[in-house]
Amino acid sequence: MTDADLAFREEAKAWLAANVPREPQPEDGVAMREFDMAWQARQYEGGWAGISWPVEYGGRALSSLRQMIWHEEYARAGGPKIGTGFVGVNDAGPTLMLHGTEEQKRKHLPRILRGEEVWAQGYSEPGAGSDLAAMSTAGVVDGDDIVITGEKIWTSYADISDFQELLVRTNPDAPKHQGITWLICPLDPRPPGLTVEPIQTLSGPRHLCRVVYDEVRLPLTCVVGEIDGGWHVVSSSLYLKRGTGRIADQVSLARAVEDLLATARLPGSGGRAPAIEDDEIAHRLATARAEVAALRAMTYAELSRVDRNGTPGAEGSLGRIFHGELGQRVRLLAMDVLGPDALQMVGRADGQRDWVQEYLWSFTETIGGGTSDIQRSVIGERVLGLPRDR
Amino acid sequence: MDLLPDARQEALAARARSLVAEADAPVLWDRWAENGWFDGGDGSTLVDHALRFRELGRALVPGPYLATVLARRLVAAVGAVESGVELEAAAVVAALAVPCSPVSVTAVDGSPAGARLRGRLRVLDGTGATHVLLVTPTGAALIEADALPAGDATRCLDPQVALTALTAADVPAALWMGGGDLFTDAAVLAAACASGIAEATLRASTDFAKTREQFGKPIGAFQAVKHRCADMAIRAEAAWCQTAYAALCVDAERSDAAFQAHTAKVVAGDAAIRNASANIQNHGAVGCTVENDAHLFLKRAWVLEEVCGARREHLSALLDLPAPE
Ligand SMILES: Cc1cc2nc3c(=O)[nH]c(=O)nc-3n(C[C@H](O)[C@H](O)[C@H](O)COP(=O)(O)OP(=O)(O)OC[C@H]3O[C@@H](n4cnc5c(N)ncnc54)[C@H](O)[C@@H]3O)c2cc1C
Repeated sequence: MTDADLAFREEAKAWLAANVPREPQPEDGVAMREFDMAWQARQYEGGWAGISWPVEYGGRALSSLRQMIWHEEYARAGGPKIGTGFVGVNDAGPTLMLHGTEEQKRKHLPRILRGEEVWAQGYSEPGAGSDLAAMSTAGVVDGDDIVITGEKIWTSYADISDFQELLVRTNPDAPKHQGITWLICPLDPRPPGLTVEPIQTLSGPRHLCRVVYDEVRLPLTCVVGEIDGGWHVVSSSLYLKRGTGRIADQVSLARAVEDLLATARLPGSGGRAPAIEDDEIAHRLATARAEVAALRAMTYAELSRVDRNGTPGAEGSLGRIFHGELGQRVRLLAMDVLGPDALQMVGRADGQRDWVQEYLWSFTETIGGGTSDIQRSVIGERVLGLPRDR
Repeated sequence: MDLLPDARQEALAARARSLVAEADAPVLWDRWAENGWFDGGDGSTLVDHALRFRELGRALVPGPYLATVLARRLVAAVGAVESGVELEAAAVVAALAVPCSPVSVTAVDGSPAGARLRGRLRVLDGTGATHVLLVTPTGAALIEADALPAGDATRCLDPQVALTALTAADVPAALWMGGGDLFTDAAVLAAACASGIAEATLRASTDFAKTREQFGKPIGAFQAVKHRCADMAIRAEAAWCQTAYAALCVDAERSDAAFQAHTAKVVAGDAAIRNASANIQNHGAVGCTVENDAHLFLKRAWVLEEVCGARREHLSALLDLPAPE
């Protein structure tokens, strides 16, 4: 790390200390959108959005190391989860940079950075989850238009998004990976024939949506990449999407462990003895501290790989599963630390942690974005070279 | 911080690996000595030592490598603080002591030679050792082998380790250094051996899963086996990344070095035992016999778990330290 990098870190730290919003982030709906976009706009004005994005699209074209430093300091400062900005900044943006037309890039990229556009990801379907390539929502080309009929599900924040990354099947006769097309589908205002229905999650918020398309007609200019080339668009930018953001996830989990430790040292409600006085709890807390430290070392190793090879390779799955399952162990431990207090959900007001809500949400960590079972097969096949099972 | 080995370290590890593969036990020991790898006289960092201990762990090399490297680090460290103790590092071959119950070490007058030792110990690989090394979180003591009673030879869980039980009634230490520095080094190097075991058993399982066929296909095509192998890979990755990181922190004299070392010992120790266990399961009946090395990995993993501070000690220490930055 050079002196300039260190100076950058100090600058980031100071800006974050002065600007991170102190009010709690709303957990769904329009209020969450407004909160997230206002915060994104503030980061943009401060020069902290799109640190490694090209200048012509509103970025600063700095190194991925600088981007990593920013994520690390952001998490240390307790910055809010990226929330409704996630798909735009981490997925749609990088995807358009790689595959979009110049017009698509100029239209969307600066607005994503400025906090003026929310994106959702319409990949999963009722019949296609882990086996995403089995998706069947139809896209029929009709002159200069494409007509879409079918159903997507689990589309996070579709109810309050402006655009959706949409996968449709344009060639039902081709092998399953070869007949898929990647589209930009507007969600606000809703095109005729498109309906969105939020579904409540187990921890309370309602942001996983069902999106139904009944002969929705879009111009062909919304196609990204080639017709029938959508699978390539999905898979070629996979890494860019998460990128250096992993460091922030690691720092947040480390914070969670330290917060839990602090909670465990305090007396429980009704004057119960501090949870840490129980040997078993104490050892699990110490183990969590050790494991979260090991996660940091794994994250550094992953970033070193990216630095050398431009990609983390399939080895990225090693850290992902370790992280997801460690996150679950920490939240389960939180339930045991709380004991009878675990029955009460306190909500996120006053900057307090709601461990119960975190515990419930932790179940999604080994499901969303590819289940841990699928990731294990990826490790077995692509890291260890075992025969394929799918 | 770059956690992947650089070209020099790659070469160093490759050299250790090929030596380990070629030479039989006594020859290997001599070669290690000729190369100066016991002393770090070639300017070895703890990372360098860790890379070599990873290879020793991988190949299940027997012998008192760990204690000897640590003992010579102790001599060098105490020498550096003007002990007035006459002890030539290169002449020290040390055996590792594991306290059976709390062993009391009383520093008589604060000088490096002034400590006395009382308690029951188990000594590993004592044959031919000039000294016995006791490493604890509060200090490290080097005791002349001749100053200790012969003790009772017992059978070690690991057939490649000689084990003696003895009681030190009131034995003077040849050298004593207070503080936890050597304990930190010891934890990192034991973790490096354990990482080697976690990696070797992963390798053994994947190789076997690609060739052993049942129901007309390699067993690695079955998810139950494949996913067990994937879990082994995750644990091996966590073990080595953390060990390398801890060694880097020690070399850089970072304030969280001890924290990272405790973590390495806990995480790598766990990876070694769990991977060695899964490796037996993956092999079926042959894994339950001595026809195969699977049992040796498990047994060595347990030895490593108990030396240089057991899990319980490292976990307690972890709770008492501030979290790293
Ligand atoms: C919080 C959250 C947010 C999400 N957001 C989005 C979003 O914005 N956009 C979007 O498109 N999708 C989203 N998803 C959906 C997500 O991508 C899918 O849930 C995921 O791909 C798994 O699909 P599924 O739920 O249909 O489970 P299934 O694929 O039906 O799996 C059910 C079970 O079977 C196992 N299984 C399936 N196949 C195999 C196999 N070959 N080997 C072993 N086990 C197998 C799975 O591991 C799982 O345990 C989200 C999911 C969650 C939880």
